[in-house]
Amino acid sequence: MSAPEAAALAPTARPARRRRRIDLLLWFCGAWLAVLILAAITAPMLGLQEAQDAAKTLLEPVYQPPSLGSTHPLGTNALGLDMLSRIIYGARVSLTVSISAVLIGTFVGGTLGVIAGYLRGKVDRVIGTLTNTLLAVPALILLVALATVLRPSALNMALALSLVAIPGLIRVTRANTLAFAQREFVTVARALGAGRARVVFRELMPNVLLSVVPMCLVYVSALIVAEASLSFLGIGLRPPQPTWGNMIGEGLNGKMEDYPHLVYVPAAVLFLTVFSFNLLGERMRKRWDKREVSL
Amino acid sequence: MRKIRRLPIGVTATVAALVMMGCSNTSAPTSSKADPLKVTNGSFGITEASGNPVSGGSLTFGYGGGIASFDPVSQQYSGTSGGDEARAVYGTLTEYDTKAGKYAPSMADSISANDDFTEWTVVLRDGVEFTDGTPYDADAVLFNFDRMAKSGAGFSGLWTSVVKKAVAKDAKTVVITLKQKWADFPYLLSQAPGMIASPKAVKDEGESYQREPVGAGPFMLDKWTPGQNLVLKANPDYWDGKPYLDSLTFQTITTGDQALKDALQAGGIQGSLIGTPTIVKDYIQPSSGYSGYVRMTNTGSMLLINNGTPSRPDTPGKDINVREAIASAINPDVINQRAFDGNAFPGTGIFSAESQWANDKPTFTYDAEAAKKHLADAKGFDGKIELIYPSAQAEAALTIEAQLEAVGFKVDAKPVQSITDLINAVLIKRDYDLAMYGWPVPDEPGELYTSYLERFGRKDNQLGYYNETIAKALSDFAAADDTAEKAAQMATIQAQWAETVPAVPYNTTAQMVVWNKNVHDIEVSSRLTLDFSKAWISK
Amino acid sequence: MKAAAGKVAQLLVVMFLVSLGTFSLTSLMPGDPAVAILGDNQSPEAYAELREKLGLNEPLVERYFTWLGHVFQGDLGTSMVPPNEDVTSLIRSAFAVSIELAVLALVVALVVSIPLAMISARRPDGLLDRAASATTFGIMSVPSFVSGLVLIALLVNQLHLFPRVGWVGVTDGLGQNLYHAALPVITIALLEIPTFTRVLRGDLVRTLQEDFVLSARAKGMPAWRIMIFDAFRPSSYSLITVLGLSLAQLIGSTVIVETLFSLPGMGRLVVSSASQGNITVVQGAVLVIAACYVLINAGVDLMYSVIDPRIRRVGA
Repeated sequence: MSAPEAAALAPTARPARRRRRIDLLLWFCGAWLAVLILAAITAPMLGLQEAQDAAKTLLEPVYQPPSLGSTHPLGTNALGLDMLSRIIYGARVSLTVSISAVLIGTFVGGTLGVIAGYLRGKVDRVIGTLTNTLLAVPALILLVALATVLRPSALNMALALSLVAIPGLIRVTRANTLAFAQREFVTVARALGAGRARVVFRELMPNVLLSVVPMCLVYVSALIVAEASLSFLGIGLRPPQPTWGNMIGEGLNGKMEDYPHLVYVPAAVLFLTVFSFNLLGERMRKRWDKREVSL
Repeated sequence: MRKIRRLPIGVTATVAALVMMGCSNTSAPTSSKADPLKVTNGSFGITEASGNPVSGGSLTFGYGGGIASFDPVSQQYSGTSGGDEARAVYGTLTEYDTKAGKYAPSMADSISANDDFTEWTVVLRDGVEFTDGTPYDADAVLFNFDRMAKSGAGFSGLWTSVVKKAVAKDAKTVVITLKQKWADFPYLLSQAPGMIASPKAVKDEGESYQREPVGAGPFMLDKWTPGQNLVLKANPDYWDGKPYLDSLTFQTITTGDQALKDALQAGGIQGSLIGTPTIVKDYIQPSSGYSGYVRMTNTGSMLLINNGTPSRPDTPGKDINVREAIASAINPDVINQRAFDGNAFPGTGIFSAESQWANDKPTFTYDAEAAKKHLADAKGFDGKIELIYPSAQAEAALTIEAQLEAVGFKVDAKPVQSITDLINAVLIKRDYDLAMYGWPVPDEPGELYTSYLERFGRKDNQLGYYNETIAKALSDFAAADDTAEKAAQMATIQAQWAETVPAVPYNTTAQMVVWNKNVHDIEVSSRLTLDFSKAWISK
Repeated sequence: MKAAAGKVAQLLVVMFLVSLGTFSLTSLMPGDPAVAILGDNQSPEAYAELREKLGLNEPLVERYFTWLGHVFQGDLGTSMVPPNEDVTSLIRSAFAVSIELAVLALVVALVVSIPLAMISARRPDGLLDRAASATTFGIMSVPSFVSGLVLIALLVNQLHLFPRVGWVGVTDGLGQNLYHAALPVITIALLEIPTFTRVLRGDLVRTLQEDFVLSARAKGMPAWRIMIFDAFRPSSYSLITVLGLSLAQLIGSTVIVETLFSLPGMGRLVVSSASQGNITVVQGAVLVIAACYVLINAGVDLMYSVIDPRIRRVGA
């Protein structure tokens, strides 16, 4: 009894060919994101029903439950606005805001991290202290504070969310820079007389940034959730502009009981998207880790 | 086959849970659109308890508010903000008998007025003591009146504008002289000004008094975690006998009426205060299995129009044509459908259909063509107008915006982050064009008079609107003791209102207190405050 | 010794920056204590007078340094809004709630994720591993406000297992306390289970490839024994780190769960005080949260270097 079980403990005993199998889940997630992003980009051309302007839906039915064959496949909300259309326009907001927040975060955090990791010393300590300061305040509380101070616009939201991503990215890029700085190509560049700035921006940055791509994908999903949480608390982007979070918020206070689709349609979409980003990030990390090992 | 195993197990599990959540709640189908809800003011679901009251047990009442401070001179308590708690500790000199529609003495033995209602005599009961053993006498009452007048908060503004002086005639008689005729003056004594604190405790404790109150009411403070819960225990020496309940707990639940309903059902609380139309509707059905009290309020939801305040002298609403256009553009039925799922009580009159002051004077009617015409008559107006609204009422706001734009306005709708912001813009800075605001005012004459006096009966108010006829009708309303006379004054106000359009009511709201069937004899008074002194729980 | 002094200095600088940031941010917020105190039925003059009395008209910098001066004397001040309690006592009671929620949630998360990680690590990429991985991924992708709503719909409204809202302190009976804490704890634990499982699983898989495990296996020890007695301990270092960081992060960051269940924790204290412009309470609470974060982090660093022989070797 114990022998086969013990044998199973050894991961090295795996046959290599099983790795070749198609990763259905990954494809499913990729396809979902592709469809979603495509729909978000082409939204104005899709001939969707009204998503925002309640003045145009005064005659539309309200609270219509989802019915796939009808003109409102995912139903309508309290104002007669089309849920499918709101989901897609909501995707525009949710995705743009969180992806740009991560881009800002990567740029700022990446630069600071690489500088800290390469220059070390005083600069490192100053950046480290700033990182710790940002980390010491819980992300959601920081966001709540920023959201109440700033006027709720997509740009402000992206800026606020990027503050959540920055400290983590500083830490990781710093650590990766420390590792990369030992590598041959950096030593070679320095030996060839490259200045500090050149080494940082030409040699280190591209490599380090590439190594944090999986982490960025996970951050995108985390920030989608953060944005939704703020909208859910009523301090994120406000209706009529749809976001998935404020759509879920519309179902609260007794409405969810009578019209569950108000909550579960956006919640399911939110879940699938977050899941997909997480999975993509994870699979990418695995693949790259392996490459690292084989190098 | 092997590939199938890669199916997203996590995905299916979670989606299944979400769908279950959806389905599990569809078990109670609604017929909301078929039958508009009818609410009659008063108690509902009250059944005669079999047997006599029994002592013992504790009751937990949960609601969205909570008491902020136990110092009555700094507070304007109501059922939605600490009124029940303060009343349990202090009692009130008078109370409003909702069944008889009259003010009656409570902690006081009697209250009477001279012929023109300008002088009121309050006689106190013999032998009543605060829980610290000091006497509840005329000196104590005057001490509290004096602090009230000087506090600069709570009811002090109203008090000093109405009361000329208060003196003690003897150890248990206080005579109050008013600056005006007011037949419903006892209303003020049924509120925070009628909550008498022990002068000794106030002097001894200083700043910490607000946390450690001493009154002579049916309950005493046991334990308090502000913003969370408050535990009171029965006062064994209460003048009307020790309360049946051993303890009374108030739980603050800020998660909304649905959470309150869930908690009531789950048994965590035995009573609650509800305002959400859909949920009010659920409880009022005889089959709900709950008892309680419900009242319709007037002018519950208002579209305030700035008629020209010092901070916005050139606001569009200064022009009567613009105000008329707004009034004709609003269709309250559509707002009801979209914002309240057809469960609210649309209407453009000041008074709800259920109100005892309802009259046949004209109200506003939806007429898009008339609105367009009025708008065309507004010379020099480009149609641009700003609307501020609390972000929690986005649906109603967006519907109003849509209706205004449909007749040619260009609306800049701005959600405000919090009620504080709304109060700041409308009431303090008076810097707005249009605002969605709540003015829920019950039929009860004392509260009605004081509320409307503040809002449009005096010069220099938040609307920037003043009308001699309305002001006079309001003060005649206060001076009259006769209901028919009072109703005539309210009809005058409605007629003037329709003519001059100071603001547009679009919905009235219901307020409800609800409790379990086995809870008995909770009495409701002014501002929806509850009296638990005789409450008991049957086994 | 010098390193320790540096750490302490950095800690103080972080606290100073956090308090400065909080102060400026809170004072920019729209909340107005005067409105919070007076409500909506006073004359505009009454508000102006009260603002003056509360010192809200003084310059920001002055107010900050006055506050800081008091903090150095160990005085966090009193709440600006009635009933004007001591900030210290407000924080103490909110902190008790938060720390209990956090610790219980971490315990629940560990109880679930340790066996889950072991099952997964036994056959990496096997059916169970993939199922567990997909499930944890799924859980990780559900925001807490959605999972909270699902749990409420199922466990409260359908099965009536738990109360909907409210909090009962430990001093009022452990049973009642746990009964009220259960649902929020589960909701928070759901956030932590995926991370814990994945971290532990990864380390277990690595450990199981090491020589001492192979030799134990060669001696014919049962797989579960190897897993529990040989592999678990050396695989738990990352988990301990993550555990510490989670604890540090959970204090104050459970705003959503506290809001959903009406719990009087640190998150709600900060958010509700901030909405009233009650700057003394916000300042005090954020300072305590930040201190906890920094201290727990330092503690984790320290513990890490004590228990992990690899680090010690590198350090020596």
